[in-house]
Amino acid sequence: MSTQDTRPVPGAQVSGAPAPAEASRGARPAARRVVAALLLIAGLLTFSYAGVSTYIATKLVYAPPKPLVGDPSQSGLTWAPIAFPARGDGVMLKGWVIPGVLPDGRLTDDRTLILVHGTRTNRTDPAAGLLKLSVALARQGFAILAFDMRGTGQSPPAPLSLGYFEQRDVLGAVDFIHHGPWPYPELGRPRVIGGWGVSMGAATLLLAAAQEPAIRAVVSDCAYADIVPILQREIPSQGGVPPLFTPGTLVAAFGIYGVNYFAVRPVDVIARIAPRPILLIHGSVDNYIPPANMGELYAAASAAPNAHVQQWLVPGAKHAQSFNTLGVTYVRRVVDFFTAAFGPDQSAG
Amino acid sequence: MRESTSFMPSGSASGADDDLWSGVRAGAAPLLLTLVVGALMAGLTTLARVVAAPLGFLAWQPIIIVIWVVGLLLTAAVYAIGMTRAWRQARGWQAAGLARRAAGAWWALGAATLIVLLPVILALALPQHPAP
Repeated sequence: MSTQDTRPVPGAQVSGAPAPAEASRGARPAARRVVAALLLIAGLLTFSYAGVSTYIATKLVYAPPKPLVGDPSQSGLTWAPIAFPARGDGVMLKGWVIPGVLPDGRLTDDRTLILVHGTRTNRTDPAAGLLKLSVALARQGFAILAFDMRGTGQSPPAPLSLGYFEQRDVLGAVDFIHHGPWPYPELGRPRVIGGWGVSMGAATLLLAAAQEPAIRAVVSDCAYADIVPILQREIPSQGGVPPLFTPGTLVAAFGIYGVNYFAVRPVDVIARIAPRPILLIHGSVDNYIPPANMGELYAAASAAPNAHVQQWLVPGAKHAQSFNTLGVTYVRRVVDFFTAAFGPDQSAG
Repeated sequence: MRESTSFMPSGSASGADDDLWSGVRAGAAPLLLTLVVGALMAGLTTLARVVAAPLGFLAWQPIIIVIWVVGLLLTAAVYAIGMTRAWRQARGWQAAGLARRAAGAWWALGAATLIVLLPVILALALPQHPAP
């Protein structure tokens, strides 16, 4: 009987077991842990970023509407409430029509101005003096159609999109003037339509006028040329978050609400308003929408052939305060602009 | 006479099994699934907004927010589960001697990390020009 030495020979491989060199090939345990940690950190960072951006976006697009402060009857003027659908999506908007008053006391709507208020306020915005301005212009013989944009005043709640959706509201006002149940049928339909807007209202008016030739002349007070730089400042400062959350917030606003703030660029479309006249107004000490925006808009508008553009920098006026600063002087300049554009009132005597 | 026995452990490496690209595919699959789920949830949010619009903003906003947030959480869950499974799979391949397949999976998981982080990287890197 023979026996075999079955003790393992040092250095020899046991059949079926991996060699030490093969076992060490591939990721070391430390490297595997690094990959696991990176995967965890990446997921936490990105999904947290998305969550915070979502929260900020919800705050960006909604604010409780402010109540109206007064009405034109407090100034002894006749007025009538109106309601009309926005163009495109049919959001029902509330407003009023104030007939113009001629020197002989007759009412007129021959030259009707659509007044477009700023963001997070309404047609009576006391800070900008909108009701006072409406009354002043009406007393100069211009009918006023002032309304609350979607999500503001008496109009239904809606995402606040800084002009992206609101331009449909202005276009709806034009449609109402042309085809809606006009509250003063005895005066006839308006002959010409002009627009006056302040801040976001001015930007919105520019966007609307660029696509609606029926708006025959535009006064834009403190409009922005492009909303994104404003948001890049405001989102961190108002939201108390680092600037890196701004892009995520804008993407979240698009994903959740369909608002494309990158498309709110009046500077890109203002040239289409030509040859219709434009008066750009801006306060010289506007620290909300820098006056350079007026310069950009002026340059863009002037580039169009047959452009008729004026710009007026109001000394010492803060944002949306040019009317409050200048009062009668402001009204006179605006009246002269629209009178030059439309001619005198042509309503029958 | 004592005979030595030899055995082959289950799943031991053979040339055909130890394929780099099958490892890459396995490592990349969770990311692709995460992206698909994320895109589907974004599309569902848009669809829900269109359908719910007649209800009025105050009615449809909470609905949309819930869908969006649930979508984010679902996408995060798909990411977490998928990446964990892929990581464990790669570790198992490595233990079984399928070094090339494991390496492919590790590289794919590393690339997935960068891709998942891309929104944050872009938010940090893209220039902004805030108004003064």
